[in-house]
Amino acid sequence: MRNIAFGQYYPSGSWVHKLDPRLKILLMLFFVVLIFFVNTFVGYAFYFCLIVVSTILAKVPFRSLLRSVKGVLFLVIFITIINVFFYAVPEEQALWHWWILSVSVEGLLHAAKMALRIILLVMGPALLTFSTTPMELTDALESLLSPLKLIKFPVRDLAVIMSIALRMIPTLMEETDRIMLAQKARGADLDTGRLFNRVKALVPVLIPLFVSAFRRAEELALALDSRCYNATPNRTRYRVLRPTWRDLVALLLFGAFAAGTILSIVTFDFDAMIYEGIKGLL
Amino acid sequence: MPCITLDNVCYQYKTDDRPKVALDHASLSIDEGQFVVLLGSNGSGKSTLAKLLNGLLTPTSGKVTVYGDDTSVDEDEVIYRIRSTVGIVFQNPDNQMVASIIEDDIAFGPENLGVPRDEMKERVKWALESVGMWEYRTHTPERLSGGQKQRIAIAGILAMRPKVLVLDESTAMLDPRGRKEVLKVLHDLNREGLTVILITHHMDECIGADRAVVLERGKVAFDGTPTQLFSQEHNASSYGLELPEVARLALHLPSLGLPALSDPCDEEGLVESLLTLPPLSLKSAPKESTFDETVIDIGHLGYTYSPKTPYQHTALSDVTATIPKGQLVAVVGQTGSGKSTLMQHLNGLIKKQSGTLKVLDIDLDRRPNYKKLRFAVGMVFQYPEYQLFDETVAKDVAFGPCNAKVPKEEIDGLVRDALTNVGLNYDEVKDRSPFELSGGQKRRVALAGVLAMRPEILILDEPTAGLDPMGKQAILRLVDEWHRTVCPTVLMVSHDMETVARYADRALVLSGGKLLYDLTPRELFAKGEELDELGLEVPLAARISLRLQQHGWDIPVALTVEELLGYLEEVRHA
Repeated sequence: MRNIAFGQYYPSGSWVHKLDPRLKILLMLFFVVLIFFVNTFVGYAFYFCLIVVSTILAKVPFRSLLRSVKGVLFLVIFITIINVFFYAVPEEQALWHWWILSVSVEGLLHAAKMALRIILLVMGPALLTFSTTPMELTDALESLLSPLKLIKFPVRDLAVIMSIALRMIPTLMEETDRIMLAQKARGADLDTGRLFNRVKALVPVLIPLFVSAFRRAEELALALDSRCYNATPNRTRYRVLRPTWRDLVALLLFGAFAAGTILSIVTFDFDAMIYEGIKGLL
Repeated sequence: MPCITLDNVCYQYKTDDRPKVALDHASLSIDEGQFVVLLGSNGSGKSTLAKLLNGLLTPTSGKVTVYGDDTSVDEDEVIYRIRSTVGIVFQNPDNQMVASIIEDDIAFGPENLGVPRDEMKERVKWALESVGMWEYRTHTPERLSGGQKQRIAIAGILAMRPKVLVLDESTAMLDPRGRKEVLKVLHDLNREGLTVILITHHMDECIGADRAVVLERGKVAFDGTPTQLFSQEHNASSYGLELPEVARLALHLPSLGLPALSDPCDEEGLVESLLTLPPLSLKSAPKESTFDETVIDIGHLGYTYSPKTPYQHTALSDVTATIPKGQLVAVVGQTGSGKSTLMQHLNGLIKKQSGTLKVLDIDLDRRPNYKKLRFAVGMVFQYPEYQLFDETVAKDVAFGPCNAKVPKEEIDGLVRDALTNVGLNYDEVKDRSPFELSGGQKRRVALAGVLAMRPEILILDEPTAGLDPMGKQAILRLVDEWHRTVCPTVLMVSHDMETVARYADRALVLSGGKLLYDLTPRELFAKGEELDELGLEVPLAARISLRLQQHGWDIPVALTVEELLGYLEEVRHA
């Protein structure tokens, strides 16, 4: 339970871990947006190459990466089935047809693409969280959002809120564990029974948890005041993000990948060849 | 030179019905470089005073001046100058940290003050080195002990370079080792010129301080040196405080025909003085009670958390012990020694991995009925008041019996008995919300919640943690009474060796998941310095009797000051 708190961070201290978190976030955004324009198998091949290479460079075990996909496995299967059976083709092209359901080569290929897209959508950000601590992400977001200060958006407060939330999650988890044990010791039944009863059984856990969270918040507010929060608008920073040569290399590598992917979309039509090939075999 | 002055300060909290006076014409002037201990029982106005010192609160009437600045002035510049000059550390270190990495947390204050980055780095290093936590700078706070966390909180304040450090009951939640660590840091800082104002209800923290101030119902009731405070025995106890044991013993010297000590906390002087008496020989050792019927039988019990993962951690290994009916057993050991794991085995909150365990007639190897076990073995966790949840006290206390499916008509009786057993008036409290009670009352309600299940064995995890001395004594007296009446077998986890000496029939000492000693307190404390390595402090009476033994006195190891005084009385008769 406690491991959730630090996300999925996998501390291998690799080259990828040391990249500027802002760059990682931006590249990840580009990665996610671009994937919606990729609709060829060659494009997905590029994507998988990127994931494999980055995973190796990040020294993260593939097992962990697959585990992150496991979370959306149900979604992947569901979408694949829907796409296989509901892909609309003229009846004579269908391999199998019943009522409004039909299976066709186009449908199968389309479903495969959808599944790949979801898997890639999960793997990319997972890799980001494997190689970046939540604190780094907070710092990076604060820095990336800093232009919003011009329109009086409280970027700094947002970052402090995120930082405190990250700090408090493990503490509150521990507290939840403790309260649950204490109520179990008084005979509370928290793990069995029907859904309604189980929700009702959580009241003795949730109320003390809320009470304690408020009590902590009060003391925290005093502590923030005592530590001169908001004393000056010219706040300084202990941690400063500075891009290095590593980031340049990463940017170039990513650029090569993006260029390759985009070229593959606009120029070759391998998919048509694959399609024809399968048709020929049948 | 006075750095902080309070001039006729009053403070009232605005509550719904009537204003509550927290400070009542208090005047105080604190000199630069002093180490001041501010004492008082709960509700004496200590914490209000702390918040007035750096302007978190401003007085209702009167004036607080910090280095010439009036704290009531409503100008940002003045407010932040005061806050960075007078830093406050609060009670619970967990609630004072804002970042998940220690060095980032320390930097929070300087960041807020706009300190340039190079200087900030120096300050973070200096602050962490001052509290001895520099090597932990890249850690997260989760794995640290209470004492270490509180030192981090102190460093977070130090990084703002305050001239005055105020600690608002910052030692209350710590175990004796943690308190020692924190006090050492405070004295070191004070020697380097920092003014320290330590708010506490532990009178022994006065030892080594320049000055002691006692608050009573919002008024300054005493202001002088610790020595003066300790020498007026009757006064000290009337403030709801408890004299340190060494002072209690020292105050009896004149009645033994010995000269009074100039410093009643000077243990060395006390021993020297006692050694001028003729050596005493006492043959009859106090007799220990005997017990026969076994209720808990633990055999080679072992437990490993998260086995076969990188987080694997052995919490218990090869623990064997039997506990007979009617004993009050103290369970002793540092944080992480396996105490909690062992206790949670006994009521089935942790399922046994290896070894054998039999509790009452329930064998944990034979598909035990865990529910039955939990009702037979009542377990009170640390700070049990944090688990109160229901609308009324009566309903909350009834939670356990209701879960046990006790017939409705019997529940009222159980609740009434339980509340009476914890010293509360059933008719007065039953319809009140548990959240509106005082801290000590909440603790009693929580204890009643477990007693109402009529357990045959009671397990208490530090039932007195965080209470003031009066509250602590009251709870311990209750436990002792239950032990003699409603629930004879009690296991009590405690860090306080004086409690162990005074109340326990037996002590189990755990270290690193192993059962190190299983002895009576008298046998245990006879080991003397061996216990220091375990971080266990031999109580004063035992320490002194061991010293006397070394000098040829033939007396048993005394467990309490009263017992030792009894022996010393014999000298006078002889």
